[in-house]
Amino acid sequence: MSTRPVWLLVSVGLAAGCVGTVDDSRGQPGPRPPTGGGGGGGVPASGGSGIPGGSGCQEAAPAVTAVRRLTRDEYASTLRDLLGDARGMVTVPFPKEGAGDDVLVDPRTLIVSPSWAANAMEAAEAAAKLAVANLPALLPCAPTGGEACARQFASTLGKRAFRRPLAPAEVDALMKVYAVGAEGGGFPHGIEVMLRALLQSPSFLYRVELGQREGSSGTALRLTPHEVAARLSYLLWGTAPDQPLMDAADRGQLATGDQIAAQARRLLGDPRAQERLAEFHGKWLGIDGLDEVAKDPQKYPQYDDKLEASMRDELKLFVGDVLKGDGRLETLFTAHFTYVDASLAPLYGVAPPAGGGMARVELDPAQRSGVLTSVGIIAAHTFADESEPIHRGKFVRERLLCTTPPDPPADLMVTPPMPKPGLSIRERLLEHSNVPACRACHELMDPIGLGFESYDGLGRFRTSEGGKPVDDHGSLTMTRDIDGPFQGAVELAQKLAGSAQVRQCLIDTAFQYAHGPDAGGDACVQQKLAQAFDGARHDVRELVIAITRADGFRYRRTIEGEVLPP
Amino acid sequence: MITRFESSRRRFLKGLGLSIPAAALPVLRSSPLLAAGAPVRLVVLFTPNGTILDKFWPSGTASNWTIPEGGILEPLMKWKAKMNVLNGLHYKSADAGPGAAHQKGPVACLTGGHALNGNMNGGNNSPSGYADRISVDQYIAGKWGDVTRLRTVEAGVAVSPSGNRHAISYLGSNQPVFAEADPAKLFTRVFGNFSAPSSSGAAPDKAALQLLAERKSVLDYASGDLNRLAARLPGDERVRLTRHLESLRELERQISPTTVSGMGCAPAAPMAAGDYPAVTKAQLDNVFQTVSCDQSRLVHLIWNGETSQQTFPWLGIKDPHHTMSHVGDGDKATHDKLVKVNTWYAEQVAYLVGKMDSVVEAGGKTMLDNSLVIWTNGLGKGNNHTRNNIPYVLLGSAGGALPTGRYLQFDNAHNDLLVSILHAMGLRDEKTFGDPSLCKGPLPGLVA
Repeated sequence: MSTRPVWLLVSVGLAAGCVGTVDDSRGQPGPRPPTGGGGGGGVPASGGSGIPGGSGCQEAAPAVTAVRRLTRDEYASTLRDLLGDARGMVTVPFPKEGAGDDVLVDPRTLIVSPSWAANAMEAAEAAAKLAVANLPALLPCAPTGGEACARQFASTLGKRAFRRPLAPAEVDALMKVYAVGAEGGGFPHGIEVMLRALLQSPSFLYRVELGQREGSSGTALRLTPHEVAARLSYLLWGTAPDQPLMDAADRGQLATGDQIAAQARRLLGDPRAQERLAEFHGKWLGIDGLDEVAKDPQKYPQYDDKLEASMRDELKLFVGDVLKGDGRLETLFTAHFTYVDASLAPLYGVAPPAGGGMARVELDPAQRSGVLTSVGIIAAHTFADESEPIHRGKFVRERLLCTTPPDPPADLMVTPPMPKPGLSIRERLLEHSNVPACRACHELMDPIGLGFESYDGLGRFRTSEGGKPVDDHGSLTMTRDIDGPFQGAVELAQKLAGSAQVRQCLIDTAFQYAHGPDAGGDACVQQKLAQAFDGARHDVRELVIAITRADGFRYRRTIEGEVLPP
Repeated sequence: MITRFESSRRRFLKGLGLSIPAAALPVLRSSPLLAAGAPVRLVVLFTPNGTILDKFWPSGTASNWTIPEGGILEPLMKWKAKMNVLNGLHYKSADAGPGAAHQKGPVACLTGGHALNGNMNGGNNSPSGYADRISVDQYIAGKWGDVTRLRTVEAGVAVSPSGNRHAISYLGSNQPVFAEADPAKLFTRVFGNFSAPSSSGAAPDKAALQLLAERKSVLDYASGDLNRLAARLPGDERVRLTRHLESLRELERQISPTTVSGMGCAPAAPMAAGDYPAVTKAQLDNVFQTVSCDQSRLVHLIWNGETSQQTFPWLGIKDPHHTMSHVGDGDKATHDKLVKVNTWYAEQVAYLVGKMDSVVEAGGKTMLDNSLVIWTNGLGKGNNHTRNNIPYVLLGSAGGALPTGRYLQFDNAHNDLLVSILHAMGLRDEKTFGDPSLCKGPLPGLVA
C-alpha cells in the first residue's frame, strides 16, 4: 500500500536533546561510552581504583560482574568439551539469550529462574546418564572403583567442570552426593549422581571471579590464574579453557599481559575463535534484526526462514574470510566479494554456485561494498516492505558511529499524520524537517538512510523504483570526521571505512563484548587499545589481542562490601 | 452470607463519602488459604500493539452500557454480567525510566514500575533494560506461599524468551520470567516432568523414592555452594545468587510427589505444535488445566509480546501486526483489519472464559466466578503508542470480591488497579503497588 506512513515510531526526542548528545560524538549504547575515566582529554591517574604496577599509563580495573551465569551457547559448548559429544549430546533445553535486538547480552539479566533451574536439572541428568554409559572413558581409575576412585574422579573432572582446582571440602561435599547414588545403584550410579551435582553446581553454571589477595590493591581485585584462563577462553572460544591453557594457569604463566596475549594468539588460530568473532561482528552489525523483520509475502515471496539462515551464514563466511585475510576494518567495509547459495545468488544478480551450497563470488564494485551492502544486513535493518531509510540511517548512526540520541521526553505523544498520496519516500521524509519535534532526531538518520535507496527491502540493487529513477544521494552530519554529502551506500562504506569515529565505535563495542556493559573502559585503556589497533593497520584480531593484553584483563573492580579472598 | 453483607456495608459507607480503614474489616475473606470452597485465581492475558478505540470502548453508564456495532468485545458479551470494562487507566509508571513505548508497556503492565537502564533497543533510540521491580503475580505468589505445586505458570504464544517486550512477570528487579511458548513443554512443566502424578493416595515406588533422594541431595549440594558464594558477594551478585537459591527451593517442591485433582480437572497433553491458532488453543487449554487441576493459581498467557509482526492469514490478513498498528486513523482498510485481529483475540479470551464458566465448583460458583481473568495490552491506542487508557477487560468476580457487569471510568495510574488485584486476591491490607508515588489506593468501587 503506497500510502503507508514512513514515520519512525512516535516518541521522538526534542531538538535540544538530540543535538546535545551528538556533541559528545559517542552517545549512549549501542556500546555505552566509557564511564571509568575522563572522556576525551589526557589520561588521568586512576587513584585508588588503579591497577598496581601495570604497564604504561595506569588503568582502572573493569567493573566486571563477579558471577556470570553461562549463556545457553556457553553451556552447550562447555558441556560438550567436558564430556565429549561423540554420543550425540544432550539437547540443551535453555532458551537463547539476547535473541532479537539486544546489542550484547547483559550479564545482569542472566538469572536462574525456576524454569531455568528445572531445565538445568533435566540437562544434567540426561548428560550424566549418557556419560556413564561409557564409564571407563570417563574415569581416571579402574571403573570397579570404590570410594578412592570416586574421590579421584571428583578432583579431576571437578577441576575441568569448575575450571579451577577443588578445595578438599568441595570434594567431601561431592562424596556425600556420591554416597546417596552409590547406595541406590552401586559405584557407577554414585558416579552418575555426582556428575549430576557437578553440572548443577554454581561453580559450573557460573563464571566465578572471586580473585586473590596477592596483587590486589584498593578497588582492583587480581584474578587467580585460573580465572584469567576462563576469562580468556570464554571471550575467544565461548567455552572452558583447553588443557594447555589450564596448564599455563597451573604453572602461573598467565601473570603478564604478554603471557596472556601469547595464549590469545594461540586461541585465535582455532576455528572456535573464528566462529566467535563472526558472532561478535553479527551482533555489532545487528544481523539478529532478521528475527524481528517480517516481509510482505506477496512482495517478497522468497523471504523465509531458510533465506534468513542463508543470510546469516553469508555474513559468517564473509567475516571469516576477512579475518583469515588481512583482518582489517577497512576490508570489512570495502571488500567486493561475498558468499552466496542458490537462494542468495539472485539477490546479488550472480549465478548460483554450480556445486550447490555456499560459494565465494566476486561482486560489482559499483554496487557492493563490504558488510554495508550485504543483503542480510540491509534486510535486517529494513522493517517495512519499503526501503525504509529511517531504520537504515539509524543503524549507521547507532551501530557504526555509536551515537544514540538521548531518551525521549517522558511521555511525548505524536499521532503520525497520514502521508500525502503521491509523494516519494524522499519527499515524505522531508516532512520530518517541517516538524521540529521530529526534525532534531530524524536529521541524524534520514539523510544517511536515503543513501541506501538503491537497495530494496531484501537488499537487491535497483536503479529505478515505481518507474522513476532512484535517487541515492545522502549526507552525513554531526560526525567527528566524515561529514558531507555522498552518493550511494558504496561511497558511504568508503567513508565509514576511513573514519576514526567508526574505529572508536568498534573499540568500545569490542571492549563491552569482552567485559560487559558496565565495564567502563577508562581513558588509559582506551588509549592503549586505539594505539594497538592503529599500529596494526586496524586489524580486528590485534584489537582483540590488545584487550587481553591490557592490565584490566587480569583484574576486576571490587564490589563494595564484598568479602575479599583470604 | 457474611461476605456479601460485608461487601455491601462497605460500599454503602463509601457511597456516603465515609471510609473505614481496611483493617477494621475481616481480612483475607477470600484468601485461598482460608476459603472453604474453591480457591481464588488470577489469570492475566496479554495481547500486543494496542487496540482500535472506536471499536473497543463501550458507551453508556457504569451499569447501562453497550459496545459499538461490530465491536471488538462482541465475542465476550455473552459474559457481560460477569465482566468489568475499565477505562481511564494509564501506564504512568513507565513515564519514568528509559525505553521505547513498546518496551514501557510490558515492563509496567504488572509491575507498576519502569525499565532499568539496559542495552535492549526498542526502536526509538532509547535502549532500556528489564523492569525495576517485582510484578503483582509474583508478589501475590510470595504472600500466598506454597499453596500449590507451582507458584506461578507462564504460557506464551509465539513469544521470544528474551527482551523486555516479551516479559510481563518479574520475580524482582531485573528478574524477568519468560513464558513457555511450547505447549507440550508447558504441559510437562505443569503436570510433572519430574514426578509422575500419582493418583491420590498411592505411594510412589522405590525407584521414584531413590530418585527423589538423589535429587534432594544434589539440590542440597548446589544450595550449599550458592550460600557460600552469596556470603562473599553483596549487591546485584547476591540478588542473583539468592534468586537461584529460591529457584532450587521451588524445584524441590516440584520434584516431590504430587496429586492432581479438582473440579473439571482432566489433564490431557496438547497436540504437537501447529500454527498460531492451534498453539493458542493448546496454551489456553494448558491455562485451563493448570487452574482446574489446581497446579497453580497464578497464571498468565502472553501472545507475541510487543512489536509483534504476526500475520493472520486465517483471517485473510497478511500484513504484519506491528506495521499495521502504525498506520494513521484515516486508513479504513487497515483499521478494519486491526478490528478483526483484536476481535479474534477476544474470541480466544472467550474460549478460555467459556471453559472456566462451565465448571461448577464447591460452593456452587463457577470456576470463572471464583477467578479474576484480566485481558490487557501493552499499549492503549496502537498508532500513537499511547500508554494511556489501556483496554482492560476483567472477567469473573474473584469469588465475589468484585461486583461485575460494569463499565467503569477512572483517571488513575494503573498502579491502583494492581492494588485492587491484590485486594481481590485476599491481600486486603495492601495500600500501594509498584511506584508508590502513583498510588491512590485500590480503584474506588472496583473491589467491594
